[in-house]
Amino acid sequence: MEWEKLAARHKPALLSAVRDRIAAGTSRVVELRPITDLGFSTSEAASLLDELAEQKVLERTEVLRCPSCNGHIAQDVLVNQVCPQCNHDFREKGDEPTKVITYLLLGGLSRDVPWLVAIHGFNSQGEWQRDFAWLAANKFRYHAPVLMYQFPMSRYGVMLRWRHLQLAAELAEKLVLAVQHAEKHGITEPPDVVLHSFGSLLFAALLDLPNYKNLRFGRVIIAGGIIDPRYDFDRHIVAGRCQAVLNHCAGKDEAVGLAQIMMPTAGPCGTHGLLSKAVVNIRSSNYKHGSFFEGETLTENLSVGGPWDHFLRRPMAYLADLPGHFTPAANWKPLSALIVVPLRVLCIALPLPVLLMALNGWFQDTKNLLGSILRSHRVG
Amino acid sequence: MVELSKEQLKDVAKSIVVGQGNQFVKELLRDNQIPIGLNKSDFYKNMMDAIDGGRLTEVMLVAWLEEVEGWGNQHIHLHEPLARSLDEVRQLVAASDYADLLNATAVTEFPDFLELTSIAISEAAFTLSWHKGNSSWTRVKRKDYRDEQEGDVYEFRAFRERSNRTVVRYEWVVGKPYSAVFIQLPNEGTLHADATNEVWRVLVELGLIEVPLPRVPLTKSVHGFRQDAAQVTATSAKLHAEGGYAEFVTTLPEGGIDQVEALRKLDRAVEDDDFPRADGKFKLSDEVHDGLSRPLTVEVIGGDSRIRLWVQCKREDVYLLTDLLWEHGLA
Repeated sequence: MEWEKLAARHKPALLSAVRDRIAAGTSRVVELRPITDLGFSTSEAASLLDELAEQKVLERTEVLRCPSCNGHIAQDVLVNQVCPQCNHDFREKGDEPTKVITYLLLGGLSRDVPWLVAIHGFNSQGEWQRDFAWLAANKFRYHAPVLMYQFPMSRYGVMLRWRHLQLAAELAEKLVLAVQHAEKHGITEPPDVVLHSFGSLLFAALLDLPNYKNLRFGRVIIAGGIIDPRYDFDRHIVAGRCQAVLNHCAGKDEAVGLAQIMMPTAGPCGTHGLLSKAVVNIRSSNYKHGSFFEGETLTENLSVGGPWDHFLRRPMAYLADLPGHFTPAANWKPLSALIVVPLRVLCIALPLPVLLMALNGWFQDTKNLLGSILRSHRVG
Repeated sequence: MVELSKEQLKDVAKSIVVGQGNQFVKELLRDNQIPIGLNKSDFYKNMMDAIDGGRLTEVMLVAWLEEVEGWGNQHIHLHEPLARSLDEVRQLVAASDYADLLNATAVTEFPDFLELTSIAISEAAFTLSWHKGNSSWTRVKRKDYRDEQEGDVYEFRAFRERSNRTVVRYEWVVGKPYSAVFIQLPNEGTLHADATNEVWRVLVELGLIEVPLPRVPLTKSVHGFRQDAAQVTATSAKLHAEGGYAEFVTTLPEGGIDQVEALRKLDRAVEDDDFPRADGKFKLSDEVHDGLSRPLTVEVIGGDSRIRLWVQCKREDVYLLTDLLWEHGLA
């Protein structure tokens, strides 16, 4: 739909309001009343909706309504001559259903967050998850449980691929149980996911684990991600493992650059973007690595119309309709192994002398202590 | 079967054209290779010609009536099944005062009061049918008039009497975990209580039960239907708690409460156990349910164990619906 072409014939504010309403997909029927409540006349609103019907964005249809309760009377029920909502008897009252012009949305509708899983980074006990849990609980109230996944604090393990796979398998096991629990409570849809930093790398590893191909996810938000920009999310989306992916990048994130040096398979998707075509990349230029989950920004991201709220709820056709949306340069290449390998060895080796120094200090202290005890005995 | 004269058969045909939905009259004509026509007057003329020409017989009419009369456009009360075998039922009926009604047909009966007109026992089901002539009123404004009498003006509003035939049926299909009372009378005053009391009276008299069969609660089925958007379109839900109720209704011409975000959120927040009684209105599509002859518009009043079918349909359609309700009530 080329909305720009309508600008010549309709007020920009009216166009914007109707476009927002259609993109929000909050109901199959588009009523005139909410538009006229904004100060537009019925005729100008109807004129725009009529044009959208011609463009096949809406369907303009004549619907029968009960003159008593305004309920819809379907043609097959009309033969009864009784309103199924209020039992108004048309034959007895001597009246007929009224014909009302109705506009129906032809595109996709909004969706709900069925339940949500949040996975934090490595250098953290998930402090942000506490704020996130509180905000999410307030946002979704009773209708979307939130699972805060806690994995063990891991600093050296993040540098070893086998440890990634071990943690990913543990995460997968927890999610299998969580899915069973959700299904037991009537939630059959797969969870949406919010990932930060190392959590994103774990999630990508989980998607590739052969034993957990049955795990499916709804919409996935990656914030401060450290996945290789070339990671193929498209195949997971096509296979139905994920419904859609939002990669929220930060303009001032230095941590993701270090991640590709320190961690095997990592990459700076949190600054460069993800190259998979189906992924929606957005960038907040003032954000740092941890900005996503600070009180004010987190509230902004989750509030109605905020980028995460938009991504989680809007119809698929309007997912990329976000401020800061960009297409990443396709020519991204990882750092040369000549740089990465020595630096990674250094990162792994660096803690060793520190450990030896610590052990040496403890050895010296113990030797001194034993010496003083022995001396005191001799004196005695 | 009593042999009807052609004139009697024409009277029956006339009642069919008046009382049955166009779609079903068309099917009767089509199934018997009789020209159909465009409207009710065409149907009537073509039926008369077919009777005169011997192409539409009493056997054909009875078979067709048994399939569609009293199915759909009715209320269905679900109760527990009979605790008897069909052989026992057959013996008890044969030994009763109603033995002569066994496999009787009642094509021409229009009794003033609910009257047991036939008992059918097949290999699979036990069915009791009552008939009653029923009248209702159609407003005819063009017959209104005003008259001045003794200095005051009176307005007289005209209604034309409309007569048709209604069926009440009790049926137990062997193997089904429920039996049902089908009532074509409106749920007004004591009409339904009177009809079900008549059913229990006859069943007691036949020696099949000692006390009325308990109701099958349908509240769980309502909750189940509400949550199964893949199979059922829920257009409204009324959830009762002690001291109040919550109701959400979509006014969409198509689609259900899952097509309105605000209602969907509300529905997700509902804890079923907080609402011990629930009612709902639903649509079942013949594109989703293979066995349906047409889409069904249905109301389920959970606490009353009552189903209101808003369209005329076939026996198979009714049982597809009641089976589906039963399955959704098991969870």
